[in-house]
Amino acid sequence: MKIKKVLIANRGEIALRVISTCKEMDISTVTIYTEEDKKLPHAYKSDESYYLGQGTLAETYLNQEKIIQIAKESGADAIHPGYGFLSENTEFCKKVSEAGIIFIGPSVEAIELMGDKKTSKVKMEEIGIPLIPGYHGDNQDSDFLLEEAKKIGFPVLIKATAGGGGKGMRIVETQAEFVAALEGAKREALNAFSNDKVLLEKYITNPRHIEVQLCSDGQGNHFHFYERECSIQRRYQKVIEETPSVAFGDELRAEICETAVKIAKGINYIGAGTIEYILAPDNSFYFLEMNTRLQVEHPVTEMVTGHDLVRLQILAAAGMAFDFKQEDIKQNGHSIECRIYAEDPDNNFLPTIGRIKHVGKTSLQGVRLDSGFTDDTDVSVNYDPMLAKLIVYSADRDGAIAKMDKALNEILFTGVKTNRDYLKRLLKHEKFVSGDIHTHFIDQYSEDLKAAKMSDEDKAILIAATLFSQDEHISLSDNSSWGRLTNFRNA
Amino acid sequence: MNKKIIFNQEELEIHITDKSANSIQFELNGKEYRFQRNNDSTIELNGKNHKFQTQKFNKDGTIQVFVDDMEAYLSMPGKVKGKKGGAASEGSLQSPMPGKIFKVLKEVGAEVKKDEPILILEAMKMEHTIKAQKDGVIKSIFFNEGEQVVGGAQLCEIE
Repeated sequence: MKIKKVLIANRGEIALRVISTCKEMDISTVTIYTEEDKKLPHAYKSDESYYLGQGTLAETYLNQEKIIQIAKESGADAIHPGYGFLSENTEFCKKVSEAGIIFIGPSVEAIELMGDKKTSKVKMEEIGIPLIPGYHGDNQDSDFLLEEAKKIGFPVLIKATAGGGGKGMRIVETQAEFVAALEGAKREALNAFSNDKVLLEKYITNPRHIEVQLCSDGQGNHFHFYERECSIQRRYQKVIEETPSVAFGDELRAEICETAVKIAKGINYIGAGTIEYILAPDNSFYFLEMNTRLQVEHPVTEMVTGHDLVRLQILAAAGMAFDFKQEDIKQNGHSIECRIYAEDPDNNFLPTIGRIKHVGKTSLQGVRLDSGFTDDTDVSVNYDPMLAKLIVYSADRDGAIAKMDKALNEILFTGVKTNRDYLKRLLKHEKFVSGDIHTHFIDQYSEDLKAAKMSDEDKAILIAATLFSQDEHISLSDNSSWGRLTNFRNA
Repeated sequence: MNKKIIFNQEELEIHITDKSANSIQFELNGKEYRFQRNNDSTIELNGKNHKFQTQKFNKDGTIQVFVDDMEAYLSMPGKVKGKKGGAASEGSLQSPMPGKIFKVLKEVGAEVKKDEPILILEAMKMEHTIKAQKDGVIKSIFFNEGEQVVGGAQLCEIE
């Protein structure tokens, strides 16, 4: 059953990403847009586009009935949900199928199973996937918990089950400290959440966030597309992703990737998905969760494997088999992705808004910019502050880091404050360069990552550039051609 | 001629000693620099070229400037004030962060007492009440309900 027309139930860069593959596959595209998004390219780069009006997210991009109605009216035979929004919503997935439309993603059962932290862990245990050792039961007796802690092995993390924000949380390094720490955590939890129930987990010092890209075809064949390392995060938001991971040798790679394929087989998966793991410094790894959709950072995998993951998603959803074998999928070179956010890293990462005046271009080879914005478009407070994903490819990691630094200099988003300079600082940090990274990297090196003091000469250069152009800015805003003539020069 | 410059958050003063269409010479912290503009995107200092790009940044006259791999935000209070009638001055209220005007509580011409709420700004899913910082009459409110504002934007003026 061939898919001929796809409605993309999303906005911004991911909508454009899906359009681009559909064009390659000779599939027509339908997009949706709101009043606020009228000028953004996803509203006009598709073959057909439908207006959702003004309103809250629930009335627009999350309006399931309306989206399905548009799909029917436009004659779309499939819906691609992108990431976020309705991509992991089982209710939507069911309604789409009931309307006789293909949902480009896994089955309702797979989304349901993996979307629930409890059921997914039970299933993983059944398949034999390593989970972080811990105690999540009801027995809260101190002596009993101490015995459990000893079984888990120190350091152990005590966490309030109702917890959040670090309250009711203790890292316990040795057995001797355990009981006192437990009492402290319980007191804090009782005060903060009126509930002193705790759970125990093995505490992993300096863990890495590793994930494996999976894609299963429509005929029960399961493939992995190797790992991505996403350890550079802040507030659980990924900032820099790369593949391959520097932490991997061939043996570990094979083991982690095969475990991921085992999961896909174990749950009869269809389409693209990602297994997230915690990797400890001693190379032990534990299942964290599965994302049953395309990931933001999927391009780095495409760069090193040469496979178009959106294409594979569409083929799988249409029930087709892939025309390659696992051993045909190779990992070549190195790819890094930086997420460019509209935010001010030097002011607590507060989101910034404004009008993007100009999006820069580069002549560098092996550079990909996935962005939902163009010149003269507005960044609003209503959506994610991610402006773009900048992806580079090079033969090796050093080459990719150097290329990213250059690309960040050339591809400017002028008119809004972005994290561009901060990304450059991250890429230059000696521990990043040596690959010695973990998920607390940004917190641990926050002092090093602050903007360096500029020399007087650098300041003078920036001032001079501003002075030379300021007259122009003012005369332009005066809208007087005579004003502009004062800057006339015969150079 | 002396010129005050807000460089990122820092206040600097330069003394301009020579200026023509394509060259400028000024003193900063006791040292003199002479720049030549070679074209629309290149300036030269001591025989070395630097690529630059500038962009008017927001309504209060801030300029976003990129040179080589550096980036800064500059405003020149003196100049803007004379031309445009106001960077933030006493009696004006600025938005503490970017957001959306959720509610306008007062009208132009209304008398307000110090600390009386004038606007509610919605930012990062929280409401921030913008209060009068002195007694007076509202001369102007620069935004309507539902409009987006940048951080530091002048929201209203009290006389």
